[in-house]
Amino acid sequence: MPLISYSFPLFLLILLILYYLGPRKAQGIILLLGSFLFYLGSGPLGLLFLMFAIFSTYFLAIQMGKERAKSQELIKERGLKGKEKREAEAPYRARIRLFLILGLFLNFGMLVFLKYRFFILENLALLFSIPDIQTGMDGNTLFSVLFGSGLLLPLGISYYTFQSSAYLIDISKAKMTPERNLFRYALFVCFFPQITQGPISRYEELMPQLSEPHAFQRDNVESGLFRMLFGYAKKMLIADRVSVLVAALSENPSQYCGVYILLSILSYTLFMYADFTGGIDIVLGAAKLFGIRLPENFDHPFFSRSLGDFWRRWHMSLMRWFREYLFFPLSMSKVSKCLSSFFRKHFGNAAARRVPLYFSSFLVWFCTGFWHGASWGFILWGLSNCVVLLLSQELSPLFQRFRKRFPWTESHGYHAFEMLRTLLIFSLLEMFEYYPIRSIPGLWGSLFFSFRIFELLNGSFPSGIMKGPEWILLLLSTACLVATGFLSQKKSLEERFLEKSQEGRLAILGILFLCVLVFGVYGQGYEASQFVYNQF
Amino acid sequence: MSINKKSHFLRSLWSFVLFFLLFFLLQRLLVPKYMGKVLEGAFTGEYYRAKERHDVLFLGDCEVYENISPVTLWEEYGIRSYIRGSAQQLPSQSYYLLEDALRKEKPAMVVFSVAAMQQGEQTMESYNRMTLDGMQWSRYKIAAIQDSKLPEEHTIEYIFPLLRFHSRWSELSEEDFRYFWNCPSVSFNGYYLRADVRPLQDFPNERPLRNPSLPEVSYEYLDRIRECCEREGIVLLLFKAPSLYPVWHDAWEEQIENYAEKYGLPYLNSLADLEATGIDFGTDSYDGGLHMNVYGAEKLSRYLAPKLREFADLPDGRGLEEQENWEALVKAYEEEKARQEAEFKEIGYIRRFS
Repeated sequence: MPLISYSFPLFLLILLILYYLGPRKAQGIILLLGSFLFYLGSGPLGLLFLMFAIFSTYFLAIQMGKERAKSQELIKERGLKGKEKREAEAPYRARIRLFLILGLFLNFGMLVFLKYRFFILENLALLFSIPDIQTGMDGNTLFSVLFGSGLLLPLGISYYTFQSSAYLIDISKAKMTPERNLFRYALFVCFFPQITQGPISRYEELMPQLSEPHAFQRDNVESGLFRMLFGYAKKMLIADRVSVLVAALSENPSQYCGVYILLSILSYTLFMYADFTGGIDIVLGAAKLFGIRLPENFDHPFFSRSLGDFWRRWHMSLMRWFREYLFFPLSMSKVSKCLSSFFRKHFGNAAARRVPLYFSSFLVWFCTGFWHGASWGFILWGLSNCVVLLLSQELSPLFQRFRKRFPWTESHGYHAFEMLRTLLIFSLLEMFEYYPIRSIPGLWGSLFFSFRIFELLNGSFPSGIMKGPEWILLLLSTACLVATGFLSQKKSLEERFLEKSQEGRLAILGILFLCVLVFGVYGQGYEASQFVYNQF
Repeated sequence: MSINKKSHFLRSLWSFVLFFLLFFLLQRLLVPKYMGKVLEGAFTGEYYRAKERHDVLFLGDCEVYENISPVTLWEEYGIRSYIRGSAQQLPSQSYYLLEDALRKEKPAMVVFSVAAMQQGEQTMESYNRMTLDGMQWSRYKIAAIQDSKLPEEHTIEYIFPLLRFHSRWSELSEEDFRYFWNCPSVSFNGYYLRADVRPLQDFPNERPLRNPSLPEVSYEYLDRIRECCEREGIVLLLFKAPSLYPVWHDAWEEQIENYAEKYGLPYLNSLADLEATGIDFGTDSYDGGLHMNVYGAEKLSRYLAPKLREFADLPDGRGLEEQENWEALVKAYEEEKARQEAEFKEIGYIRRFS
């Protein structure tokens, strides 16, 4: 069921009524059934894959828990300590590791197959010169059923795979005991607001909220509604409107000079931000209606003064996942240690410190890029971000000396410059996502050496993209978005909303609702564009 | 309830009232008024304003609302009629418009334009809108929406037209503000008056019919119209207007004749009786033979009137209690006709048709 549809608000309303009017003990079941119903809207086959993820990780976690319990019982019985304890634990740890590997293999295997099979097949075909692979995929064989385009990517598979896998990894590390109640665990995995586009929640932060009963609180419902409407406004007033501009300018980029390319990339950045943060606002707002607080996924990323800072504020739950479950384990793995030893021996300490870090970083950013899209463009996007980050790190001592030498680098003006610089770098690297890779060097060349700002005024701007009032609306709503960004630096918009009187709150909700209804891009004549991140 | 809670409740209630008021004002502003170039969308709603009784109800598409003059029928023959026509009206919509009309009055005769039988399903959403938006809410309107809507349409967009027409905010014109509260009538008892003239022209060659059978769903609703008329004791007359294009195929003619014979219904094909109508396609059409102008419509009405009386007992409505309403209609009709004639004579075309 799409978040932008007539059925979603109706579904939400019915669920809310049942949730608060029904018995408090039944709230979990109501949410679980609602989540299944929500997910069923995307097709019954998708539900099968979701159930597979739930059951496999649930049962494997239980098994891991049993092994741990047996090992602890044995140690306690025999009063083992030190080396004896480690030796006694070894077979149990090995089995726990086996269950973990099995769980990760099954779930990530399913994700890789469903999301990346075309990419893998096409590249294998190129590598081994297999010409007729497309015919095979279009036919009526088992090959075409499995590898053809008929088998669609289940909604939210990247999110629930990451979330359930994180749970499994945490269980294997004994961070918590496995959830015994299958229904509660299922709700953790498939809780409907977050399944479409995150955030990826930790078990220990979400489960207690899903387990405890929630009384109706007007503040939760009103602030949840406010957040949702704000999200709809970002998505429907800004993102869907600016996407038309992006499409027009990126269709045949070689015909445009630098100023239009700059406009295109900044528009794309605006689109990504409004679309993704709008979606997250809807998700967090919807969860808040039920008294559930999901983790924030954005923290004013365009107020960042460096790319590193940016990535600590953008899609925070995904970055946290990669950091905790890929980067740190990689950095502390035997491979990294071997690399470090080798480079220390042959190239010295400086190399020994850097190479494992570079290795882990490249792998993490490769995966980050690949997660975002099954194409070389996305992979290059990830790797190019990694290069810039590592370069920044290497140049960090130089930057520090520069700042010490020139005090004006602490002024607001310089901070503003750093923010703009970060925005530009982010936008430039985003080009890998939506322009053909081969065209990018040329486009960068046009951007820096053929800017021609006066082209904007000589009538060469593509006409018919939007009507005059739509341009004005886009500019006004973007200005409002920037203004709310500044406002929410000191205090979140939600907090400011809750400070208002009852009439003030209702007025804000009413105005937001009417703005979305009247000015939003939806309905006939408009592309029913779903959130960009729904494809993950 | 304590005073605080009561005051709080009242203030919240006021907020909701204001919100709904604003919502409906915005909706009123954004829905199309059909007072400019496209008038057909206003026709359906105008029916409810008619205070007089009608003994004949015409149902169908442009073959009725552009080819028959209720003013001529009344003025010269005393036949009180109304055309519940609309652009590309489906047989299903004709049926529901009939049931809707029966909530208000019971005519002695219903004339159904059989040209609509070729259109089983709707092709464009705008035609649905122009036919259905003007209907008063009843179970017939709901059923009409459910049966007509295209896959991309949603019932909630009919309940709250703001959801459909919200994008008009960037296209609002003077018309939307001028006709914000009410819209004057643009038709004459459902007749779309046009006094411009464009003589008969050559038409493109008609493609051969792939499937000569009229759609099953059209028959389904013709059956319902027939059964409704039988139930209410209303005479149903099937009618084909003298439009030269699109071609009315022999296969369709045969099917309608067979249907009429099977159920004992009168069927009048004025296209086959062109000479008797007196229509001259050099002067009586505004679009080269597709539709009549006012001169053609008046001639066709004179042809039709005696034939209507052959099949139903239609009283002479002249001199009865609603005389004033009819006279006002005639006056407005003659004034508009004169205005259009003068404009057409002066500049060779007509700027507006209301």
